[in-house]
Amino acid sequence: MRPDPDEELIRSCQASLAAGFDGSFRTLYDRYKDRVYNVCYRITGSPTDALDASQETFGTIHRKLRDFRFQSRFSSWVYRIAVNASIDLKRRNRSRRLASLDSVRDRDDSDGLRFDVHDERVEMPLASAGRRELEHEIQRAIDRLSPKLRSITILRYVENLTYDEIAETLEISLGTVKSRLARAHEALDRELSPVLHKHYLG
Amino acid sequence: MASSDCRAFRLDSIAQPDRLRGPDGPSSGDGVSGAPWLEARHDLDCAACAAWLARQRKIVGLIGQLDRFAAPEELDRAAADAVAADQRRTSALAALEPSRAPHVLRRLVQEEVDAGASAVVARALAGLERRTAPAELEQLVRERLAANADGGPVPLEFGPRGLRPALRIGLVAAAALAILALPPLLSPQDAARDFEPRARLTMVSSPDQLSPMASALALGLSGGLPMAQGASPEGGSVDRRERAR
Repeated sequence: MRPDPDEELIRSCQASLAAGFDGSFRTLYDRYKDRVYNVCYRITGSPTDALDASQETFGTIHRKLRDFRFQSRFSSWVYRIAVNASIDLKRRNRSRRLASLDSVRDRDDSDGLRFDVHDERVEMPLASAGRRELEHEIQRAIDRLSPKLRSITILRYVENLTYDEIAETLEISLGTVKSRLARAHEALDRELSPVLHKHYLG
Repeated sequence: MASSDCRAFRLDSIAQPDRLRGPDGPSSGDGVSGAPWLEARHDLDCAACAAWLARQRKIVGLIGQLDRFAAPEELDRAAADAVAADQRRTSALAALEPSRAPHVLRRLVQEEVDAGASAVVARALAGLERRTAPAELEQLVRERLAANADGGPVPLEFGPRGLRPALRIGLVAAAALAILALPPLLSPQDAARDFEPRARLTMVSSPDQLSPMASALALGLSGGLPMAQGASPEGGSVDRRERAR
């Protein structure tokens, strides 16, 4: 296994856990907070739940960090905790409705839209309202996936993890990664075909 | 899906990430890095799979370009709180002193083992709640003692307490009628035409007015009737002017 790029930082954290949030752990937190938050957000579909799940994720990381033995990549371990925290939270809050994405988009420090209109692979509609609606539809389609298929879709196509990394994160075999992705594609194709038809041909 | 070739092509496409990112798209690290991807022949021949592949590429592209958000500032405080809570929990656990079992525990355990299951049973029974007798018991006992003092048979009460004797007798008689009337009702239709009533409902105000047979029937059904003074189940003093047939 390739050396873990975070190894030095992790060992420093393990040696200074008594310092709490300050010091090395703060550096580790800064390095992973955006990734953790985005995974939690895309799995829970709610900014509020994403915040709760992210908080739980870092609490768990701090609690279990002293026992981490580099048997897997640290990033895979972090993603695993984030995915599980998000799924558990969503299961507990099953009655909550999907929060509006507008509440996140209206924030001053939110990133702008990243759609590249010159990217021939995507050919996004140029109207802002159309893009927003399309993103809503995509998030809704992802939200309708089962937790297993949702996780694998986010890790693969949002976080760009390789199949090996996904297998390590979710503690499943490579074959299971591929079969779950196939099922995810099937479900997304069913959900998004009308949407694609509407936005690209309508 | 049109054929097994289509299914194999689609599964293979998903298993080859570069195929979903386009022929010249960036390698995800799973495929052959830097090598031009050769279009599979199947989708050139199969319009459905060609359309499917185009859709999957769009979907993958769209998902990959979903907005990425910076973690909100609230997460900094929330994460710090979570870490602080974990530290407090760890400190509290570390501060606990292990307790030593008292010396008497060994003796108690040995006694328990020696006593066996019976001790457990006795202890459980001793723990059962002791209840006080209800207030109604005194009245029942008084009535029973009073009945015993009369020297007559001890009647069993039929029906709810407080029901007047006449009403009780009427109920019993009605029950007797119902039982006698059941066979014709359950029989086929034709049999009903040949039915001859074998019982007649008569309301009486005291058991004395029942014929011996009716009295015996009521006695058996009710488990006992409040006996009139001087009367007997054999109906020796019953007025036979009113008879139930």
